Amino acid sequence: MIVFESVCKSFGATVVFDGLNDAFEKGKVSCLLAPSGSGKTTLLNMVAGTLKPDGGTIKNLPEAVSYVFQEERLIPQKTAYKNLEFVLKPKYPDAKKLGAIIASHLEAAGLKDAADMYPNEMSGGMRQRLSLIRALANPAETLLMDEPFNALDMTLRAGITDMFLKYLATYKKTVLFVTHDLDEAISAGDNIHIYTSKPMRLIIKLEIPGTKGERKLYDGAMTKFKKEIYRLTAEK
Amino acid sequence: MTKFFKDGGFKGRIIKVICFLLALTVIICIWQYLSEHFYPRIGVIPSPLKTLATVRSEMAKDSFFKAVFGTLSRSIISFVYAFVPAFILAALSHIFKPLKQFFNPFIAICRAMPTIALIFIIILIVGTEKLPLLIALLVVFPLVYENIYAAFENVDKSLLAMANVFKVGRLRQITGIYLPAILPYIFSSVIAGFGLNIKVVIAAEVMGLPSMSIGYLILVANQRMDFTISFAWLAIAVVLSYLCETVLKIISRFSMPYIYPDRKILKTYCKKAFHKVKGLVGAIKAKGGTGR
Repeated sequence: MIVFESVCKSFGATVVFDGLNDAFEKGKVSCLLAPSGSGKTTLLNMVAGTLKPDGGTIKNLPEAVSYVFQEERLIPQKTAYKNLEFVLKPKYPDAKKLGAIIASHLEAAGLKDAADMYPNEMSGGMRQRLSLIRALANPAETLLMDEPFNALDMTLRAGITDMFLKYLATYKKTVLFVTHDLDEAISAGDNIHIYTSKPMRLIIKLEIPGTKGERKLYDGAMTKFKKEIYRLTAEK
Repeated sequence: MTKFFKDGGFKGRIIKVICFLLALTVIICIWQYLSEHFYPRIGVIPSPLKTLATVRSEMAKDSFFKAVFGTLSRSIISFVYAFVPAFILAALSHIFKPLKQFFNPFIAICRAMPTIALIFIIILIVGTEKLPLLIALLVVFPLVYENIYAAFENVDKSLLAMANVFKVGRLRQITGIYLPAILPYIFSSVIAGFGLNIKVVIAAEVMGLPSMSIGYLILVANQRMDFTISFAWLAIAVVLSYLCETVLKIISRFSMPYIYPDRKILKTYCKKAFHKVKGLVGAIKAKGGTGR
């Protein structure tokens, strides 16, 4: 379990965390809901180890993480295959195994025919899928996702969320999933962490009812659950 | 095939060739006009046809290839002399920012100092033998340094952050992110710098008088008032510079298929055509075999 204990972080005069306490369970998908600009990306960067807290402690920080960024962050000079290879080669020194892993992930994402395409030749959805499989194929226990599907239309979004869920059913990972879309959080998550705006503070952590993958987004119980979340966020 | 015509810029390439030929025609017309109107009796500016004939006669001489090879090798060596330290220092300046501040005045002096003044100073200090090398170094170094430094500064920081998050090693980051990002800048500085370098080397050769060089032959022709030969060598120098630039441009285009996707399409098309021909040849051979 990744535990934040009284974590403080400021950027100049801007206080992002002023004693943040929270815990993210191992092997679970934790969805982070908070107003824009409240510090969700800062939280993810701290878990990734690229930012250090000014005060407090973070316990059980993972040694390696995978990260799906808001933007795709693909290397424009490399093809889809080479983009995956760039990240995965140090982890899979055996060329045959590496090739098989990349091929299987490209196929799962529907990008088999795009292996030789450069990012500027791909559509936004293809690029985002590539960015997602880059993170999924990386053998790290923790996966950080920072509003990765924001730029996608509804159909693409649903498709990618589906792919993500199938993947999680096979590989158990600790996931911190930042999103503004409550339906997306309910579809993919195990629990939801709701925060205040800056300085960011945990309001409540809720277990999402039902079994993941079988949840009905608009049945009575789920509508009630959503109403409760809207009430909590509106109150704070 | 249709895709090649659509995306590969085939039309654009035709337009390019037409524009090039048009520009060449205009240049030749202006050249012809100038040769007829400026001291035609002395022949300060020989006509294009006369120059062409002289170029052909110069090419038949033994000295031609020696002079071209001499100037070209001097240009390449001096360019490498300038490029390597400029590249290393630009990389170091990117890592240690105060170095950039330290080098700024040197670069400003190199840029602002008139080449002719530099030539006289260097002749006094090191003599004429190494003059072309040193002059080229001083002229090309600032251009390459600034270009490569800008390239390093423009490397996408978010990609480096991504590589750090995924724990990609430093060497892999250099080869996978830095090098591809600075490659276009390297090529543009090589193309611009090398063209400039040939000019500067020839100017320095005129002053430094190394035997077997284009500059030396231009000077000798001028001293004999043989403007046709002098002009012919100028034309040879222009063509030489243009050829070098073209070769470098072709190399740069094939090295960066992500910038020039038409090359990729062309390559795929050529591959397909090759396989078709190969299949056809195989079929003909097989037919011949059964016929026998």
